[in-house]
Amino acid sequence: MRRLLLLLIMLVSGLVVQAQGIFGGKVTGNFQWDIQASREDSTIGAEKVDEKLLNNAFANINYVNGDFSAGMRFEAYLNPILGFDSQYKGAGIPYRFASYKKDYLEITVGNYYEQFGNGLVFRAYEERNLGLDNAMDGLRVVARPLDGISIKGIIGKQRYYWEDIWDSDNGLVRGLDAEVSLNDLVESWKNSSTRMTIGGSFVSVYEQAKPKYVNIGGSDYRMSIPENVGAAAFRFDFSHKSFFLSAEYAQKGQDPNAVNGFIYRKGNALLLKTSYFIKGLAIALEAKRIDNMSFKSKRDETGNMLNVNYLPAITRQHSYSLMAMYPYATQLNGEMGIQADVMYKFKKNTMLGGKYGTEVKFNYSRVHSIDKQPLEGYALNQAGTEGYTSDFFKVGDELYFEEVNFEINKKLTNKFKLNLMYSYQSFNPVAFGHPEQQNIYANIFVADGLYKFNRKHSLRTELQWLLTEQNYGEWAKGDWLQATLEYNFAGKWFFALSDQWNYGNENGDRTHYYNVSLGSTYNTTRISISYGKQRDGIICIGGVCREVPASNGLFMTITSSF
Amino acid sequence: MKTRIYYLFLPFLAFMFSCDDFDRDEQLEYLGENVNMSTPLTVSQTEQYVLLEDFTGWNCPNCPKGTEEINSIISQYGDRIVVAAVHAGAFARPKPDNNNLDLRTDYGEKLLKKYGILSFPSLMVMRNGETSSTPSAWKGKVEEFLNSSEHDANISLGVDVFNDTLLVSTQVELLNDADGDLFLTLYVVEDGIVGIQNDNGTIKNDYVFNHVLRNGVKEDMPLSYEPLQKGDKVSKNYIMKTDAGWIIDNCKLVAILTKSNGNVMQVNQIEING
Repeated sequence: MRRLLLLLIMLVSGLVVQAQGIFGGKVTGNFQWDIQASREDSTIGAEKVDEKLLNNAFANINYVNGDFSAGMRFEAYLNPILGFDSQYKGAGIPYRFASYKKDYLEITVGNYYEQFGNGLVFRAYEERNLGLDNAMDGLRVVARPLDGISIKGIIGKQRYYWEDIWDSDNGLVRGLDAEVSLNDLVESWKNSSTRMTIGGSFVSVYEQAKPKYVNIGGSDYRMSIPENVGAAAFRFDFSHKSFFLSAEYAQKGQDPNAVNGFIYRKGNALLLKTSYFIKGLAIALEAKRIDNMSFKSKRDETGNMLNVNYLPAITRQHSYSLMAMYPYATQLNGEMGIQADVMYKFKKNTMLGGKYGTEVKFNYSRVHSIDKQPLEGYALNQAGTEGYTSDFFKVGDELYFEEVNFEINKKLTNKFKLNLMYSYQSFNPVAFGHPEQQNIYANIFVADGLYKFNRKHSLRTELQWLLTEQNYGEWAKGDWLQATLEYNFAGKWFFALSDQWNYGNENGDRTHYYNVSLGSTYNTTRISISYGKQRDGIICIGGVCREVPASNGLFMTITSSF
Repeated sequence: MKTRIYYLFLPFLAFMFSCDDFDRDEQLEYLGENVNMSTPLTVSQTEQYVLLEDFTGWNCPNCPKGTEEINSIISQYGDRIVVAAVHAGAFARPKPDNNNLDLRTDYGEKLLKKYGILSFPSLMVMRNGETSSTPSAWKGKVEEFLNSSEHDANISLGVDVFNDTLLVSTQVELLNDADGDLFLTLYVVEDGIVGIQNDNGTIKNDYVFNHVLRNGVKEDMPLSYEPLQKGDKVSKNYIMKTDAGWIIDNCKLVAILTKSNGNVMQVNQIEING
């Protein structure tokens, strides 16, 4: 049946490619194919790949006709490229939906992504680079009965690799979200420079209880497992001219699960954001506190899948690879932290601004554990108990992560742009479940220059330097240097050379992780091929992380859209 | 009008916003283990025994036929057959017609629901998930298990009575490595309960119910928190409460060793002598 459906869709999509319009509607889509060939390399810990070739591919095909839309995504992992869960092995259509709007209702059946507020109690999303897909399968209704009022209702189950979710024990997710924009609701406030939005959401997961036992003080107990776990959140956004303030507070009911060690303590999360900007200056502050907020639709699941909620990271997301070497992962069982961002732009034709202006950025973040005190007569986090007590305002002793970033973006001439960055990072491996590893203290410098010869030719050079006296596992010892040279030519080709050198690895091989890549972009199609070594490491996006194993070989990517 | 329609959904919110929170005294159920007390093990086994759970009821006209069949199996295979008569469902509901004798148990109702049993009598052998309502086929099913080469554990039992308390000592010996977690369930069955039974349309006033499952089941207690291997012997002691309505000398204690999928690995029973 699945094959038949696939054939039908391929036939339809074939028609579509020839004629982008069908029945008066519009068809859009995109496609990506990643191919990896990696060979065994004991110097970097790259393991043998039995298949020789690994493939990840997907194609989205969406049809829109007025208020109606429908679509599907075909995915193939034959077999999954390194770092992706082997449970993805296979091919099929895990995502398909139909949606229409009528009067004040928008109805979606099938798969959908959705987020309530900041996601503290509900976020169904996909992050392809992490191999994470929490797509819901079920129903979603969005109602806008009055201007400024939006009500969302959802029900369904979450994707779990290729598992037949309707035949699985995974929990059923139900949710409701309401948001009121006071400025749109109240006629006289419509044009006010003060804007206010309030919202609230509730999500409940039903999962059949399975027997769970604990042994406390030599005696066995059977735990009462809540089959309905609820979480509620309240939020508001306030802005006045250039000032913005938002807050969201969420609370979760009893949810003994594998992530929190099967404790009964209720969870809570608070997220505060404020920002202010005037011409040339922007200041943003964020604060967050999380206490026991892992919320999954399967209580025994521990990985990245089946997350019902999302707890955003309040640390900077780095794109330079040495700066991203020791990334931060959100600690679902408890963390509290702050982040500050300041950006200032020196005007053109001033002493510091020079001819083209200068942009200076400062970023600071610090994340600690929360205070946790054992319950009288029990070990800390004893399963089958409330786990611990916690003073909401007391900062925990463990520093999980600290980072200071300075960045200067400067256009020096009409043809040359320079970006300089410095970062100090303090990384605690406890946050990754590796208490046996040392804390890492690293100073990282980056210089990134872009020289444009003309509209079609440019050269980018990038130098990165990481200085640390500590080692992290087998793959990161001491200091690192990275150099990248990227030449873009003829407006559609690029050629890049890079080398990441662990020259500080004094006791082992001072491995060079070189990489050569070539690619071309033609309209909406991009093809790139690279050859080289990839070090073992961690990637994090939004505080959610996965480990990437080492590889040595070829990597090819084809992307296209229509 | 278009907003008023939403009021129709309001009654559902009360259900949606409910979540299951447990007070401290509801969170944990003490499984009655007391490692400091034990009683000598007086019953042991060297063969695979077979558990028969007979879903029955006083108002089930065909159930006495099932009971006869079970008695015939017991007479042929003796101690290797362990029986629990599970009085549950509509046929077991007490009425003035049976002098309101209620032989149902919470555990029995739970098993009925769990295995989706609708026909009576129904026999489940070793909790393999299959039930049969044809008594003439039961013997064959029981013999499949009796003749099977699977024999992975033995259970030894001892029991003492102190006032309204049973002290139960158990020892499980693994004959092969355990594939996953193992659990022990303890329950009491009582013989010689006299009551009214519908026997194929005829009301029998002095019908004797045997092997009747009683309340107070110690259900699915984990045998170990470590993987168990061939040769391991796990000893555990449990305390169970008796009921004033039981004639303790007519009671037996049944110990069932199950795998994590619920299938029975071994079963044994011991008479309780007050």
